[in-house]
Amino acid sequence: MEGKKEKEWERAPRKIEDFLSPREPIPKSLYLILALSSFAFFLVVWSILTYGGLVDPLFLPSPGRVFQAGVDLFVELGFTTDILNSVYRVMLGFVVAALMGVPLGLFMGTFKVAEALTEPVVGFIRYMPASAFIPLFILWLGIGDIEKIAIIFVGSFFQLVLMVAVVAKNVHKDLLETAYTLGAKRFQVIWKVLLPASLPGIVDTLRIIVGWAWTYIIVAELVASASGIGYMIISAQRMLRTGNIIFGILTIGILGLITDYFFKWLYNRLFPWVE
Amino acid sequence: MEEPTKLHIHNVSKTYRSDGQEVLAVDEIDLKIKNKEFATILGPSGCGKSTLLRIVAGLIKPTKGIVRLDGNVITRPGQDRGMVFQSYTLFPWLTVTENIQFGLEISGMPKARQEQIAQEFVEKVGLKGFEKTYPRGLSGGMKQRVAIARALANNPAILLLDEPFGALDAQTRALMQELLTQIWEELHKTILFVTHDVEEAIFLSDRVFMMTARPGKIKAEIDISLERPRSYEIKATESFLNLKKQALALIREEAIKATQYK
Repeated sequence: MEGKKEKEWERAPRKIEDFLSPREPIPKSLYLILALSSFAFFLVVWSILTYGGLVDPLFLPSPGRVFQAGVDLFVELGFTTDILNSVYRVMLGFVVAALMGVPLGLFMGTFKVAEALTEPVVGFIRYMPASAFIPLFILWLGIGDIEKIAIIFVGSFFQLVLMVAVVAKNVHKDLLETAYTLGAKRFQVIWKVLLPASLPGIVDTLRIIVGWAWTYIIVAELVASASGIGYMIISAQRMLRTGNIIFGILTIGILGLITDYFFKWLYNRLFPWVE
Repeated sequence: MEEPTKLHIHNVSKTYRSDGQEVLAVDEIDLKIKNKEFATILGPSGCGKSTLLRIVAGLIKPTKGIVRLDGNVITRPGQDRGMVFQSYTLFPWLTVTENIQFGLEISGMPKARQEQIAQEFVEKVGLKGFEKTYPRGLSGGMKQRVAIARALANNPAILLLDEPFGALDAQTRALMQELLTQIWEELHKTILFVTHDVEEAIFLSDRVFMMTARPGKIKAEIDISLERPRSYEIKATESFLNLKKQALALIREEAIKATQYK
């Protein structure tokens, strides 16, 4: 009797409640299905609205038309060059900001002297939106690559410094003290403990910052530019080519996703030890 | 033959300032730890025993008094005083072996020699087969074994242990105590151990200093003349239980005093 009951319990079908308990894990297959269906949902709504003739195609072209617009963009309008231009600007601005911001952030989080010297200024500038600098930078630097890179730098650098400083500050003091009791000198404590302990947090910060950098480049290109994804979008608007606009936006989303996955991959690759 | 004094904590006091009030954490403590001795400071939480140990380690400065190790005044942390903390302090990005080699590498020892020493201590603490494991793959007890191995690999003049088994469950704790006794009986390092666990103090030590809370003072000193080598069975013997009784009576007396004065 007892055994039978147990069997029944094991075989009992899972109820909906089982999947709606807070933080309970769900099967991987279900997770994938749900994730894909959220994309599918958008596609379905979009299709109904456009193929059903519910909206004017001038404002919202159908998925098929947007796809066609994309093909035309690549084949006829040299969209690849625009993408490469934007990627180049984002990467250069981001790399420059990271090369300067990471060391400065580490100093800020490590030495009170550096913190007192830089935090108030950085904290102040951080609240100035990068996009507000665009007119000023156009005056100073024109509308070429340098101006774009400068905008990305302003938008990323100051946030980056503060975030890296917090990462460095959160390194457990016990670890530093342990290193001292093992004979480490101050420089060695920084180089051999504080830096490796901060690295995962730094890579994670970079991942977040590069996402913001993508926002700034598009804004900068929308305002004034002669090339880039943002430039393509604003030109398409002038010619009422809504499909091109939408394709441009989707492209940015995909590029952002790729960068995000790259950083996640890098993180897992570099830090197999993270608890 | 009487061993010479290894560590002399000479009239050490420490006052903290918190919320504008001065708190006396350690009050004029004078202790002499003999060479090759296993000495324990036993006291309730918040009695300042960890503060005292950190002063010996050189991590904090005493407000008054000095500490001498082999006659030299301690002014900063150094390789001659290995320390094991209650919290897990392994470097998570280093494997077991690399953690144990940390101090050796810093002192510029040749790689081959580092590896040889690390291997020796890996075996001493019973972690053979875990050499390449990162701390995230170790249990709490194993982490503390590595921490002990790391401190010992540096060959310090004295080993300071700040409630190293405080975060472990009772069973693991008992095993770790045996392991530590074994290691001590083999290496005869001078050890200063801090705990609030009466049984742990008696089982491990040659001498136990009882510390009182607020302000932290040494109230009594008990010689533990139990024979060595010690195994867990000793905890059930009459002489062990008598020592425990004696210690508990002293602690109770203190606790009562504390409630009366409050």
